[in-house]
Amino acid sequence: MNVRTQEMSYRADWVALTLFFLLSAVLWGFEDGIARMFLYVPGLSLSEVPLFERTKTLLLQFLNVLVGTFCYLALFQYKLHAAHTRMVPVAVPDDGFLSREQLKVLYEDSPVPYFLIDTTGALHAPNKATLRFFGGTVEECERTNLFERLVTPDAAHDIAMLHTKVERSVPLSEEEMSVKTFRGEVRRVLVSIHTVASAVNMPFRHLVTFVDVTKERQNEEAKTDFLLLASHQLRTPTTTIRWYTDYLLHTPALKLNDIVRGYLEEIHRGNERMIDLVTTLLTVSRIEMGIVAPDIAPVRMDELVQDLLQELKPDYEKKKQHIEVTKIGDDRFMTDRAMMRIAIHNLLTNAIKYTPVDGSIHVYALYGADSGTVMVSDTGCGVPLAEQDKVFTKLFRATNARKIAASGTGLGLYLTRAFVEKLRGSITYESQENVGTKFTLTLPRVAPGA
Amino acid sequence: MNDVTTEKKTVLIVDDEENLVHILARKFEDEGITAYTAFNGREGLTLAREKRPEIMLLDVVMPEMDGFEVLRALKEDKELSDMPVILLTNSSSIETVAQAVTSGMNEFLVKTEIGLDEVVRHVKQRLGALR
Repeated sequence: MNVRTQEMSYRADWVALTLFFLLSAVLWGFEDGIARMFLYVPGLSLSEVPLFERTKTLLLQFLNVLVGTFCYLALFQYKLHAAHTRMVPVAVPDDGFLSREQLKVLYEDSPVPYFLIDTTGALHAPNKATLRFFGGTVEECERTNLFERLVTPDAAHDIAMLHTKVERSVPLSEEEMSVKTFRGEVRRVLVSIHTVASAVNMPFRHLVTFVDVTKERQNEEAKTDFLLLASHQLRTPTTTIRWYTDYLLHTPALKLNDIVRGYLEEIHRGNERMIDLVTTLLTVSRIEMGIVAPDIAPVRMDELVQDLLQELKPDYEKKKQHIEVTKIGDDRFMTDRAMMRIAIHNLLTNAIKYTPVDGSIHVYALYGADSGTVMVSDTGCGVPLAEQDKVFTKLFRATNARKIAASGTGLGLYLTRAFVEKLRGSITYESQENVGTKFTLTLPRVAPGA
Repeated sequence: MNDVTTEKKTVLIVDDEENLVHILARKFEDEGITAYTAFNGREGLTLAREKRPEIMLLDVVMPEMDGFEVLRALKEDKELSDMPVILLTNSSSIETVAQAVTSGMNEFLVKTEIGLDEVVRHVKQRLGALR
């Protein structure tokens, strides 16, 4: 259905409506005349033929209902047809372009603020959404200058940058800026500027669009504030417990008996788990909110692995586990040290935790030209086949893992993958229940943002 | 080696968490270090001027005057500008660390990441380096 056909169907709608009114008028207005033509016998008065009178009234009413029904049916058919025509999703002319009028309506009524500027930033042809955004009239908008409306810490630099881009017709895509409205509010906006290259002689040939993200930014700030507050509030009581149990356990002068000491150690251990959980939950929240940005710096991967193994030595020595480390290639990476530390720490602690006494753990690092691979394999309990697709999901703990170690947040591998993916790496694993598991972490030698 | 003094070492603890301040002070006293305590930044600054402690343990988030404001005030005070300060906080966010670094802090301890003994060890190390 093209535009012309659609316009014709609207016209048919109006014709049906007019026809209905005309016929009604004819029937009601000339009722008497029609009665005379068909029903009255010349020379006779009405009082002499009461039967005619009655017949006339009945017939007229019947005729009225008949014609009325016909008109309604006809109108209904036309309405149906017209409604069907309007449901056609995109109405474009036969040549595939919208008409000038339609384009104008689209521009004017679009919910997105559109306006044109010249190279000095002077504003022209603001649409309705632009007027709503600035809170002014067309005249007020056309007296203003986009560049002067920018509120940034380094306004001069930003204006110079914008000016250069506009002048050279370099498109600007969703650059976030603060813009001051006529009401005095400062709103966060994603600004895009596109130059109509063909309109060389037009001074106002740079089309500007705004996407107002003020609310989103306010929500993000509120979440961050909440997180920081929660972090402070949750951490303080756990620090209190840690320091007091520390004091009680490490002050010989108190001469604690063995039972009290044992209970205090339990409190201390429980609290340590709580601290880990709170820290992990806060990290997960920060990652999900997208406020954890990688801090890319040179990292020696071998040093990192060795540090971690040294830190975990008491744990694997206690279980008499055999640790083997193999490394091939240059271990220098440009990546986020803290993220990688947490990721590899999680893989190693899992291997130690779920590998039995006398079991073995192998760390195999192979560093290639563009990327490096760190594999951690163990001879532990493995992951049951039915649960293998959930390994990286949040709060997942394998059924056999729960039996071996009651404590565990189910967030370690979720975080590991989140961090690795933030650094544009990948992590996979192979596992066989009661045989062992092998995690393979691949990382680009230079993470994006370096 | 003639600078070893018999005078008792002094530390000022400034933190709004009274429980933490109490146990820290007790630990320092056990270790033979005199501990002065303050529960907000303003009080801490007054006590620093009055008692002239050798070192200050300073929390960041506090009522009245936060840790960074105290640091600025110390820097502006000629007699206190050289006093070593160890920042003691619950927040290990990048923003806090960055602010600490720009405030000239060279020691930054996150409370949840260290035990009581470690805090005392850090203070003793700094005090040892001073003598």
